[in-house]
Amino acid sequence: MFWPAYFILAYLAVGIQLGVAPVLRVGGASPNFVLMCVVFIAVNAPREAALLGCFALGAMQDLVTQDTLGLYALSYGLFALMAGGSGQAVYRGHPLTHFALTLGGGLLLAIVLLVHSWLPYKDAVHLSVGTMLWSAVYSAIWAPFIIWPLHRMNRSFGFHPARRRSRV
Amino acid sequence: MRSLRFNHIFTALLVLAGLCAFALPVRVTDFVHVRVGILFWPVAKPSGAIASWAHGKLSPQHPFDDGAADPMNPRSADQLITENQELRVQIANMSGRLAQLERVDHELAAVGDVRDLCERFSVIGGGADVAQREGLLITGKTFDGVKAGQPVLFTGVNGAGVAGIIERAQIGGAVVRLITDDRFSVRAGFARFVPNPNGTLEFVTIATHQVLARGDGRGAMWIHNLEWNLVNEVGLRPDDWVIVTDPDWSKQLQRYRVGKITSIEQWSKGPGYAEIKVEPPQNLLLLRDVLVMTKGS
Repeated sequence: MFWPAYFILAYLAVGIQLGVAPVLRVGGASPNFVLMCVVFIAVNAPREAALLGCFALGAMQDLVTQDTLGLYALSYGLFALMAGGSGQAVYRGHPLTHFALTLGGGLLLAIVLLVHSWLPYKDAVHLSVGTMLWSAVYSAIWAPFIIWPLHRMNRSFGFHPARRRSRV
Repeated sequence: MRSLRFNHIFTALLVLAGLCAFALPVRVTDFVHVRVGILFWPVAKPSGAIASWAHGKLSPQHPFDDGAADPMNPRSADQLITENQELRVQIANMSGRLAQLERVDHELAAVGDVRDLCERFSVIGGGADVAQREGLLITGKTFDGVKAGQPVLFTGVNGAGVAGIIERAQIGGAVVRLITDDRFSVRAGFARFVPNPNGTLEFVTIATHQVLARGDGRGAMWIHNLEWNLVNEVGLRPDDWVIVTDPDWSKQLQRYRVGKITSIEQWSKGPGYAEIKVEPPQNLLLLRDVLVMTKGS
């Protein structure tokens, strides 16, 4: 993976999450643009790069949320473990793939956030199941519109470096 | 072999993240939870401004005028200028009376324009939480005198109000917990503008006991501990103001606006009690700058 391109994408994703997501809030939930980038990386990047890239995206998002440090990094890391390297089994460019994987990632994130909010020894805001599920669905609805253009640019990310030709 | 090493490192990272999230106390993780929101300012600010502009074009904010017979039809500029002049006279009169009272009671010396105690800071973004949490990242840093617990106010086309409190302040910026954040609570009372026979407006508090307003994480607050009989007795109605009457908040903010009532119904889950929805005068997540009360709080 071409890491400078990855960092530019991550920077833009977190910046847009901060700036634009509150305006698009519906029913207490915002679209999670960072998760969409996680899906894009998880599907396209080689397994190790995908795991590291998704975890780092989560860590970056953790730094700008109100929640405890580590929640997003853990969620995206777990998601990458499940979805990383699945690129060969799914049709990477299909909007349904983007929808389904973002929904899956959103549900995993919802579970982690809900469990954290329900722990009695954590002084966390108690989140509601309905809103967290809606958040996952809402992000999934947005996903094809964000991931598809990214998919068109995937050469810039150097996910599949050209093989060297050697003369025999 | 390389893959094995990578798997170990990645597992260690996941375990560390899990420990931070679920096991370590918040004060420990906060130590490393340096707010780096300001680093994202170059993207967050312009993208947020464009999104807000587009949002304003698609659903323009309608000015709300408490003093008009129909609040949705604001008065003309001439009427507002007249009222402004009258209010200036009233303020001058009250300032004089306060000056007298200050001599009697030193505590009253703190009373004044709250905005003089505040510093204005830009909003970087609305926080990157995906649901329910309502907060803002602002440029105010510890170097600027911003500290956790300080009240945050706002001004806008529909008037001023309380936006929230500083939840965390660090060298890279601060996080504001909005009043509409899930479970945010403040003790409150009610007030409204009542026209006087001489045509001026008087701001009167409505005689109810103190109530608790709680945020719902969806842009509103709810009050559930006011008896339905009392609501009818005092004639509480939509568009009445909800104001701070919380002794834990600074003296200068008492009777400061939290929001206005947008609906009152009998609470289906609590017989005999009312369910009152309170909304701030504007969407707090779309604020572009805020006032942090860095002095006197």
